[in-house]
Amino acid sequence: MNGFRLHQLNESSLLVEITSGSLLEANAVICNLFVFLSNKASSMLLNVVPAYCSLLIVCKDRSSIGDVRNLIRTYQPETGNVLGLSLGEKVIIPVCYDPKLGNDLSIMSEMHKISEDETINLHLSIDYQVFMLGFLPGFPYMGEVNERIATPRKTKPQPIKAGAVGIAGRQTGIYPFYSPGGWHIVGYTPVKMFDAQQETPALLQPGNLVQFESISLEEYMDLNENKTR
Amino acid sequence: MKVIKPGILDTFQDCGRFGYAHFGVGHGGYMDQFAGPLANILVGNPIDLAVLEMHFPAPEIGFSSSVTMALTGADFGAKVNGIAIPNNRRVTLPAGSTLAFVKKGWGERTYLAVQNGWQLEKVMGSYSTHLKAGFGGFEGRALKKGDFISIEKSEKPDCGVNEVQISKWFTSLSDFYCLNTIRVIKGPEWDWLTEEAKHLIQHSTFTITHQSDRMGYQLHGLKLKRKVTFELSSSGVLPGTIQLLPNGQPLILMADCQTTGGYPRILQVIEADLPILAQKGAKEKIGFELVEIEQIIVRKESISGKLKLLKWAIQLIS
Repeated sequence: MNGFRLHQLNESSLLVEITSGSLLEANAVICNLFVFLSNKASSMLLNVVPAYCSLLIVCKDRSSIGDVRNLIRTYQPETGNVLGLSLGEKVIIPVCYDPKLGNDLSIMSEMHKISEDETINLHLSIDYQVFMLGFLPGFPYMGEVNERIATPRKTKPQPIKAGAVGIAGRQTGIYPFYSPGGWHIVGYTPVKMFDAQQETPALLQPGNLVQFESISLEEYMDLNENKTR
Repeated sequence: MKVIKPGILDTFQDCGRFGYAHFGVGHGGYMDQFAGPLANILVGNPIDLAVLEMHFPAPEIGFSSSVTMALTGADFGAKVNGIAIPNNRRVTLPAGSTLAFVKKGWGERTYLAVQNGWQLEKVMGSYSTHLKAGFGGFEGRALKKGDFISIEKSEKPDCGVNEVQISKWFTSLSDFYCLNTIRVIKGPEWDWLTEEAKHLIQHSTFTITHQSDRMGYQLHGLKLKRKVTFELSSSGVLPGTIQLLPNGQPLILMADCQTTGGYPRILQVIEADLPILAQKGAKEKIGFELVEIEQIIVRKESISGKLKLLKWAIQLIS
């Protein structure tokens, strides 16, 4: 593998950082490496954490670090699959953009000098790559949103309800739980993003593609799995 | 076991949750990775059973049946029916005992283990309580007044006692937690610091502020400057990762930290020294000693090594 560096983070952990390529290319390599190591080295590993252009690998035993380093050095990403589209399904996520649920579309519309409908259409117009999960269990960092709706974080965090779909910079994400947060909210999904009792507890995984789909307020009320938190 | 009066933060914990970090589920588990398993070793339990981690003010707990237990970690002046219960020993209590904690001595977290453990369900492979997402431990939360948690019965017939019995032997750890210098290795963004900041972080002391809890310790000291102004994109972090915040102060991530973070990672506390930090509280001062990772590995410094020795010794005695 080319264009990377390794750093030993503590006695039993290793960090891989991709040092070349665009964000989408670097993340595709990371997601592919994540799948490769999770399959090939599962007996040696406690955790593997993909991020934008890095992968944190936590070993069960410090003696495995040497073997993991060798696996990484000799790893060849599959040619033709660099953009990570082989990594799992496209997931369609319904979103209700109705202002009755309370969102920041009017603020964003004023900031970007476009209508609220245009903001919604631009959010719907791209299939987003899931770069990583972090911050909260099941919280996906996805991108990249159209530059015309790229929005900075709020200066002061606000309370955000479960299912809120937000934008920060060129990323879009979904809050699985009620939490303070600084992302500008465009709408709400009725779908549960995280369930600790499921074998695969999060709806999304790094490497997935996500397509948002607009639903009405009535449909949202009918489907809402996020009522309690 | 019944919670007569809850403490400020009582949660069931074990060694942590693994295999789900890519879903954003963090490490969690006991803050003090030495005292936690030690409580189980003292009562003869497998070390992967849950223990109760308590902060001060700690709870008042009632036991309806006779129970064999141990307390480790911080000294909170434990008493049962007026009798002082020392830490680091195996103790058997008669039926109807009430355990209370009357005075904060040293340390921040104390651990209770009971023989055979409590009747709890693992969630994602662990008994640890995930407070933010509300799962694991007992109903995914801290204990409240009136909570009742069953203790697993022993296979042997109930050999209850009529009075408190305290083992004559004990584990002595007086030197271990006294240290104020924490050993660290360079983080991935160590070179983002100016030369002056690199010098300051190794030669000045930092105070643990009140903005410190299971997620992390906010420190206060001389301001540290960075020479690289590049914005770091979110990347993996671990308990022990020391981040440099925009105000120039360090933040040490602890057990309940998130899986990823966007602040520069300037240092990393070695695993062996995390238990020392876990027992430090607000207003205490610490310093950092930069070490090479190879030195730590060669010296075979590890918590698991110490615990193995203790387990073997206790099995011989009891």
